[in-house]
Amino acid sequence: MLKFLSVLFTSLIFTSIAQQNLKENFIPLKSTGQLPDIFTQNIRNVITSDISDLYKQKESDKLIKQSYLTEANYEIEKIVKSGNTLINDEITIYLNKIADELLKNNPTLRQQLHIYTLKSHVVNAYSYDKGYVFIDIGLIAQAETEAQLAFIISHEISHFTKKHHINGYVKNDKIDNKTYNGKSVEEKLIEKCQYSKEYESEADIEGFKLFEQSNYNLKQAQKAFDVLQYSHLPFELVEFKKSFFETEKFIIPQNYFLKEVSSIRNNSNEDDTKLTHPNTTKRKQVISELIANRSNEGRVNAIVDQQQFEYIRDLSRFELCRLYLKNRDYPNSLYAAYILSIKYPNNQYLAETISKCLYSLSLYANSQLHYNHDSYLENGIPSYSDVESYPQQIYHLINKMPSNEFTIMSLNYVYRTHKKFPENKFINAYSDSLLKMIGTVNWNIYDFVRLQKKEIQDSTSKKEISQTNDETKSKTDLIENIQKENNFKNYDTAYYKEVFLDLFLTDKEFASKFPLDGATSSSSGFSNYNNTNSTYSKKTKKSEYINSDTKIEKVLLLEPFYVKIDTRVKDKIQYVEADKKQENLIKTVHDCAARQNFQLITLDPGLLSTNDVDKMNDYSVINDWFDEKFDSNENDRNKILNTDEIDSIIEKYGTQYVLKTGIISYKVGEFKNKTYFYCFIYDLKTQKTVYKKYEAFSEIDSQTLLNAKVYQTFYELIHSK
Amino acid sequence: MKLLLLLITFTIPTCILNCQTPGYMGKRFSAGYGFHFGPALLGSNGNGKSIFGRNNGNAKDGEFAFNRLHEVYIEYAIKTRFSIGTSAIFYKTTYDNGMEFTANVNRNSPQGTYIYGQPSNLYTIKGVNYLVYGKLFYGKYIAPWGRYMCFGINIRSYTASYNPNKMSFTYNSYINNINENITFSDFGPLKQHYTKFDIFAGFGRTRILADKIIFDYGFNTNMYSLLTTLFDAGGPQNFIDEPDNTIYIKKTSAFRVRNLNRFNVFIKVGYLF
Repeated sequence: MLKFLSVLFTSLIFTSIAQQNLKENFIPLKSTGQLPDIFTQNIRNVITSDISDLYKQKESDKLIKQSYLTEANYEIEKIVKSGNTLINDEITIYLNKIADELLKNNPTLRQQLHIYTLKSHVVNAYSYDKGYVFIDIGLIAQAETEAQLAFIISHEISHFTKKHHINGYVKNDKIDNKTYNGKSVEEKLIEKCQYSKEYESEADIEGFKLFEQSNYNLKQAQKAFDVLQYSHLPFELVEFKKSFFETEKFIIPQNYFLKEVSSIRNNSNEDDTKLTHPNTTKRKQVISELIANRSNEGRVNAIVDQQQFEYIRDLSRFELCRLYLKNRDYPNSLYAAYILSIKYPNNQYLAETISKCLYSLSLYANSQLHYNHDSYLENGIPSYSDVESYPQQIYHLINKMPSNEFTIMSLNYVYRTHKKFPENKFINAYSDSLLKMIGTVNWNIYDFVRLQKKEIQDSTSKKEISQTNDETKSKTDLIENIQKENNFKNYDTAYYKEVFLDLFLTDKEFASKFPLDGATSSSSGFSNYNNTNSTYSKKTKKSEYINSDTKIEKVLLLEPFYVKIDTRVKDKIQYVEADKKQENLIKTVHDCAARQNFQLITLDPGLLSTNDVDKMNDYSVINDWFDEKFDSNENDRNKILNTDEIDSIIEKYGTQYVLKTGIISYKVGEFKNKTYFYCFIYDLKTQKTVYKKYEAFSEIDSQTLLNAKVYQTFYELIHSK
Repeated sequence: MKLLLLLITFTIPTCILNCQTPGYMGKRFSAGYGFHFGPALLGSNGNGKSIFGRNNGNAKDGEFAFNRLHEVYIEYAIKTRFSIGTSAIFYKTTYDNGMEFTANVNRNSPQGTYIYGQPSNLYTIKGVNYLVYGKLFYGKYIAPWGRYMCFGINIRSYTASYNPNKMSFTYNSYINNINENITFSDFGPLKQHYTKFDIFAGFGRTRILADKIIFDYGFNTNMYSLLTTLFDAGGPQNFIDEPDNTIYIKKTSAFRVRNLNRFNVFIKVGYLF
């Protein structure tokens, strides 16, 4: 009965997920339904059970496999609970339908599989011996057919059935312990890559065997390797037309665009000695030989549904735009949104994404946004010469266009987009911010209204123009002058001089917001939206309130971090011990907060019940926020752009402050220990770190240490002015 | 003592009123017992035993002998990294008479008659060190938990007492053709009380069990005692010519008390509340 109800419930969830109307908007992907067992089970019990099973079997290398089981279980738990794994969403349901199709003759194996979508831009898929298969959004976005996805899933299922993950772990361990007479590093790498390639080849063949049992087009298995081969390129290659940013009075000079984009390099036959996978030519060859002996007649590219595949792929592509934004990879996000906007010209999310990208790239052009070694793009935005094919045009434009002009171009696009979607507060904020930026980069209303020497026929007009240049102070006067001089020809040859002419003439909002003279005092814009104008003290103590205006009474506690490392032993990372300690840290944080009547709300994937999927989604939103924050410099302004859902989180939990704390404990010798304690509080609204404590101790991670530091943290929060 | 009481009376309430420290888990007061000890290398401990003893001494040497001091203390954390405390350290020791004295045994004679000698046996010293000190905890620790250095003032109050039947000097007197052995045991009042001042310093480490029990261990020293180490190293005769019998105990007890307080290791157990 329970089983029946569970199936019924799941079916209801599946059917209740309505398709998004991508023509109008896109809502970032969310998990739905019930959380799987991995959220509620005690991982230490699972490991104990797995190890117990291992010792019941006649297996070799049991000690190494025991380590593997511990590590793999924690690794899987970490991935599933990271906030990046989608549960019961449209894409995951679809992927599972493909798996159902592949394994319709093998229900036992199907039951062992747990297939999830990972919110990652990477073009990859991987599996674990516990039956967990993770498919990245980046891969789904690149797939050309459902059959290609099916082959990739078959390949991953074969890794699982052939126990490649655990066997690979054992082999790696043995290779690491071999002696290589001085050539250790390189020879070890080559040997590891060699057996890894063997496993991949085996998974290709076994995957194909599984794949051919279904009715999918066999040739798509071969084509899947092409998708992987060109995974460094965007999901589609479409010529980037400069007209996309142009308006009637704003024609971008041709010299900002390349006459010809670079060709795509073919490295399908590259030397794979030091690669974990065989090169594409070899893999395609193997599949080609398998296909040669089989009939492909009557086989199809989509079994589940072709339309659904296209919809799911588009969803992934929309999500990919978001993921690129999270990584602050604006050129890629811009290009992806550009491609999608051809199909969905009225999609508000795409308009918002392009606006975010242009705003960020304007900040970058004006040196107000930076990348560092912690960034995904650690060397900043790549040079156009490092990019292949059509996306090169975007990089060339970014590289070549002066900052002022880039800002003008961005404002022109974003403001007009704002007029198209006036209700969108983010586009409005970017538009206002760009207007402010125009002021800060020494461009103001005079630059656009100054009409240079011209043939003036009317003496009255001449007088008025003179006033415009020399005497007029009022912005409204200036605009009035523009209206009067509308019919005169402007002799200024700069291509952008008339870009806003129509807006000055017809749009009161634009005219009123445009900076009169240099920096504007307007209170609108993204910076104001995020309230980053508060004062910050210059103290550099290890523990302090950074923002002197802040009074924190309630915080949202994210899952505390705990890692224990013992450098003296083989299994350096002490997973189980750290897990126990983490539980204790959570308890300590709650105890210390309770003792001081400090309000603490916990958002910890480790403490969720099956019905807490909303909390999991909230955790995911906050994690994305942190991903973007940690990618950027602390001193950059307006850097976290994926803030669409943060407001609702703040409202839901009644606080804008998020507490992240953790312990890193090292044992480097019998009596030599190092413990690092950190505690940071971030303001989701101002995007600033409002409290930070980072301390190192030459001692073990004792309970006294935890008590003392955690208690002190709350004490300081309560008693600071 | 009055000064000490004044300090305690005014300092602690002021600190409580102005307190801005969390203490360890909000707890600031601690009180407990401490045991200080150091090797009785040359001097003799309270039981009259010594490890090496003196060549011409009377202590029982070759023993596993330690000086032992007992402390009761109270402490209060006034800042995150700073606490103040006061304590009384009790001790009992002996002075192994290893120094010669002079005495004028014939004051009727204008020139006097002087004897030179070394008293027999040992005499006892009982004392209390009154301390007021501060503990400065290293940057990342929170008083009263963690590694610290401490410093303060030490007022030593001690009483030396001797038994004239045991502590004496026998000399041969030949006056008026009479040759006789005379026992001399006049070293001033039988109980002599002295008060000395020193600067106290130390390093230690506090551990806390179950948020209530404090274990404190480390070592401490007294600055004046430390500075006089070189003078004291060779024995009491190094710092003064043979004192006369009236100040013999004053000088040698000061020497002994300095030695006792020069360097000690301690272990304390306390309660945090």
